[in-house]
Amino acid sequence: MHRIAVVGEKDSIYGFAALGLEIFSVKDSKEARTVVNRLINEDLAVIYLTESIIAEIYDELLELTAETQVSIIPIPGVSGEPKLGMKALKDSVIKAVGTDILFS
Amino acid sequence: MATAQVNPTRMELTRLKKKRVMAVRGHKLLKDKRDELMKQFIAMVEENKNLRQKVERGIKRANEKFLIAKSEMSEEALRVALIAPKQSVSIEVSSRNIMSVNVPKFSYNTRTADKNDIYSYGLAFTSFSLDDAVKALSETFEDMLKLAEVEKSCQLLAREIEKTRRRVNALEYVVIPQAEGGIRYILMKLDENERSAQARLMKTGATK
Repeated sequence: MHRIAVVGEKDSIYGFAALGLEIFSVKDSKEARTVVNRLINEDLAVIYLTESIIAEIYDELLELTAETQVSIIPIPGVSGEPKLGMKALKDSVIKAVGTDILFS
Repeated sequence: MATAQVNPTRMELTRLKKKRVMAVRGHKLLKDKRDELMKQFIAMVEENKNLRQKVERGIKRANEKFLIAKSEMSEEALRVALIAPKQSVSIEVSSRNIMSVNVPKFSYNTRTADKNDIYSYGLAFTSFSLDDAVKALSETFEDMLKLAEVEKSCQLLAREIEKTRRRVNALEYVVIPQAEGGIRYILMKLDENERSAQARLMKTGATK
């Protein structure tokens, strides 16, 4: 049995609590990093993070979870246009294929 | 290419020939693995892209609804409404094997039997927009889970492809040429030794 967590600023994530996901409200990426670090060692399977929080630490977290089954997934928050998720996807395509075949 | 120092002996020659055969076979296998991984990856990335667009749209819509709900209720009422969730979701993680890459597979179950049992508040003191918002979010949830599964798979596959590609290249451009260079060197050296032995014998008149 694994749990699902949503980490982000309070306004963006409180709705997920109603669905039965665990929410962790944080103020900045530094705080998020501590929370995620702790969560990785628990029986979490998926951690959703809002884009504004994850932006600075995404690569680091990916590296951290590369060998584990924990998925770090960026989701859009209330503010700002989502773009990190697509960018990450594009990066993984470039990593695998060597060139961007997805959006060209 | 500068070949590594090898002993020009027959034993070394046999060893290098064996090594080359093995490297060529490994190269072919890894190349096939890379091609198949790539095929799977392309399909998965396409799916990932579509899911992500869908999820981002869904969450955006839900967020808009939450904003409306928030404007119609007081901050406290909203917090109280959502503070004690009725539902709880846990997921079962199994794994699927794609070309020896273990990708996760999620199936989720909810604490209460009814999946739609998500309204953790009484209807008397909350705005109907909140119902709407929670519903919109729950509709996106299944896609979110699928997205997590596919996105993680894509990351794992990308890693594996990168690794395999490096191996293929190392075999193709380093190991195989080196073995071939070594073999050529030994063959030439052995021939040369033979010729010089022959010449020496001729000089001493041992041969006719």
